[in-house]
Amino acid sequence: MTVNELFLSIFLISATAGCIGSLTGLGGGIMVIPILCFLKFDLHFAMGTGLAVGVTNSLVGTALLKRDNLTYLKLGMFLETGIAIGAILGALAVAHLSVKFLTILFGFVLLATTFSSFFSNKKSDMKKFDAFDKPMPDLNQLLYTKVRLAASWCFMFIAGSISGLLGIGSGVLKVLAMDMILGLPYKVSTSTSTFMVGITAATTLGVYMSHGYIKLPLVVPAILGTALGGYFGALWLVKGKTGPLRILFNLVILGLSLEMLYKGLSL
Amino acid sequence: MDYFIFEKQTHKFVKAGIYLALVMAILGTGIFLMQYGHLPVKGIEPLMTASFHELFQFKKPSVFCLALSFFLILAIQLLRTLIVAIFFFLKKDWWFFIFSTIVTLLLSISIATSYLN
Repeated sequence: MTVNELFLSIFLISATAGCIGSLTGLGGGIMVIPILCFLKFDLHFAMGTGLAVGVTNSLVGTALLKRDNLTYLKLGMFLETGIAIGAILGALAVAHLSVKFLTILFGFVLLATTFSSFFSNKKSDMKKFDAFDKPMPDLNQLLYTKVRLAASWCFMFIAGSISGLLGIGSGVLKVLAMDMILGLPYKVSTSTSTFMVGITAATTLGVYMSHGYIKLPLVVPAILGTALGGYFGALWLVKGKTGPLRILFNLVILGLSLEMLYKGLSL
Repeated sequence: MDYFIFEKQTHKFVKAGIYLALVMAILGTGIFLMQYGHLPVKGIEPLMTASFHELFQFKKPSVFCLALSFFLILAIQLLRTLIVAIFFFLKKDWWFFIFSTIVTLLLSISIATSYLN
């Protein structure tokens, strides 16, 4: 394989992953890793590339796509303390865990994420969805329900650890916690999650870089591909009819997660 | 200033940063492929195994652009959290200033450690 072919293949993989990630609402990172593994790339390098994609997706999603940004900065920063600590601990543990364990864990997380995406299909239809489908709670109100805040912090710590272990942004888990535990409006949850994914992935990326899992010739075409694919995927989501396609892509991801599980178990 | 309005304002900064990083990545990739595109992947082995600290010492404009585009993306994230921390400081929102400072510190330690390694 020549350098040209490597760059082109990574670019195309990540553009496709970015587009599918936008359409299914799963993000780019979690899509790039199983596809790279499917094409026989090393799991650790795939995870490093997935993280770089996660950071780019978050920035592109925040800066170029979400014009009606509803990021809940206060809550985001509070929860991010748990995520960042979890992400660093998870990323530090990666070097000591077997590829078999990581592959199986990734398969399970991908499977869970796919099911979550299946069931929240209606919610992520941006055209139909109102920004404030629920009344927006004030953070002072939330503080009265300290148990909920503590529960969501713990949940975020776990999400951060998974993010560190698997090289993903775990955006779906974050949305789930904000939506179900804290009862935030869906668009506020997704916008705040997009903001947090970037910080989580960047924190994890630092540790992965020190492990030597970040390879520039893999990362840069992946960044370019995801930025382009994610952008067009999001435009498509807003303007086009994507229902049947999203179901098809969810099935593809389901297949990839089963393939990861099978691969992990047969290692 | 309201938090949501502030977040909208920081968009401009993030947008400029991400555009710059993407332009650098396109430029770097273009030059890099013109120079090394025809080589087999094994021909860029030193680049594949180099740490980020070493990447900036390659003295090749294309490698420099590629590495810089990647670091710009990390730097934007770091600066963004720093701006949020400063915002909470100016609002005298001390608890959230502490939270955002912790996040900024963790992020900067992580990036600095990786660069030095």
